[in-house]
Amino acid sequence: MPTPKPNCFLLKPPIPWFKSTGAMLKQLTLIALCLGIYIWSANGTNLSVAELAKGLPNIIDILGRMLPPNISILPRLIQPTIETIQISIWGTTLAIFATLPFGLLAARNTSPNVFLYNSSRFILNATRSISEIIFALIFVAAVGLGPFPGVLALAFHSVGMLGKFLADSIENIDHGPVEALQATGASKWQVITYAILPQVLPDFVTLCLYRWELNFRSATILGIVGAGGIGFELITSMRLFMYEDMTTILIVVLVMVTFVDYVSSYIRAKIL
Amino acid sequence: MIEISNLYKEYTGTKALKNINFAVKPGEFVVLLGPSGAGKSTLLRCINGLVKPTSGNVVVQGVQVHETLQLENVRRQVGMIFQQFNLVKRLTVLENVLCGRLAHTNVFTSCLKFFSQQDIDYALHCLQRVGLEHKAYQRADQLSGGQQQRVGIARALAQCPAIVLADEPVASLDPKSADRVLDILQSINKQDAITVVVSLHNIELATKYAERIVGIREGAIVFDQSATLLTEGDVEQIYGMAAGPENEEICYKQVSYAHA
Repeated sequence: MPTPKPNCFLLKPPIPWFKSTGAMLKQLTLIALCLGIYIWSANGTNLSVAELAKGLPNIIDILGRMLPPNISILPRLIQPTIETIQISIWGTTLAIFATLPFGLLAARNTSPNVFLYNSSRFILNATRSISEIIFALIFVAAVGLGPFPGVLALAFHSVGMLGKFLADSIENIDHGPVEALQATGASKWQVITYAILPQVLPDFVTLCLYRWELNFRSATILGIVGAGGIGFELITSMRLFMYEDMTTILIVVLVMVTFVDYVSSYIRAKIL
Repeated sequence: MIEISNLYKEYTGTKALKNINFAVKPGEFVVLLGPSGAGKSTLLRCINGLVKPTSGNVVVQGVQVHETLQLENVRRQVGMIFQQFNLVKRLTVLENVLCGRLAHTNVFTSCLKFFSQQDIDYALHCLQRVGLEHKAYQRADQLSGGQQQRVGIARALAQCPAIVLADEPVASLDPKSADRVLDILQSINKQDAITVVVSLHNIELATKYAERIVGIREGAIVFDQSATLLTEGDVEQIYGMAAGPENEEICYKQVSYAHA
């Protein structure tokens, strides 16, 4: 009688590393390498527990001076807070408009040719890797101080992320409906409208709302480089050592970020 | 109507179609019969230009499919039905049927999702033909498989096609839905005089519905006669019953069909 074969097995048998000198050396080298990288980075960043301990009284001192929050400045914060929301709304909206053509060009299955595919992928990568603060510095220099450069900065940075996600989800759609619509004799734009967009829309809407949350958070610091919003108040009170004002501003930011997150998840739940 | 001569199609490494020659006359009901992987889907897709042949000629309604600059004009006259239905799941049933009207409408207005009342009425009429007018405003993915395939037929009918190609239309359906779908295809062939070319791998269904059977094995036509002339020997030749692995695949297919 044949012995029954085992019906389960490990995908990869474990190697007892101590049983082979070669494997052991490999493991030890890997551990040494990781430790090396950590020590090297610690040196580069002056990481030190002693310094932290020495700085502790200062931190406690600043925290003490931050309290109690100075509520009397609240009326002065209303206008910058509204401006911050406005910056995030237009920054996100402009990005969405720019994303639609980029998404189609940067998806392998909708891009008209390799050149446009590669160049739009490159542009998306570039705008994604440059932080919004750097864009804000550039646009403040170009169009002057105020909320408008903030809007442009958010729009440019957001296009990179939104475009890449849109292109990736276009590449991952079910090809069947596309083939079916082509077979009816529908034109390219009709195929995009009826077979591709309905498939990517739900994910894209979710993503845009998420991007709006991120953009609101970014908009709270854009003022630090002069691009409008509540960040300008924050940097001013820090420079004037008015830590009690700063606490109030931080509380307002915290409340507003929570509020925007709530609104965004409410919209998401409503439309999906 | 459809004339195919010296058609070859090679995918990297495999020869999918080898020297296919056949013609379909107006009003015929032709079944392409053969095991999976024999090249039936590729052949059907060569007819409406979804697949570009390596060499050979395909003429549909007097137009060379692979040389014309107005491929969309050819496709508009050729409806297609798919094994996986290929409906746009998130759109309503009616919108899916209206997709069949796209090639007859203005690109700009249809991309803004405007359709004329005439188009909507015609789409509803097509749904009535397949018995699903009461589902018009439901989302396509809420329907059962058999119903989805009937929406697929309505979409093809909305094109006002001269020819309907059906690629394994009942392979993912239970026997009852399969009969219903093939009955509808038969009725549009008889009542509307639409030429129908269906690929099937089930011999029983093929002999039940076909007027003419074209047997395909390993990319070549091995049988092309009236359905009544199909003998046991022909079936053996199409499926290669003597051969081991292929035979096994057929049995598996039919078992899964029975349990679907």
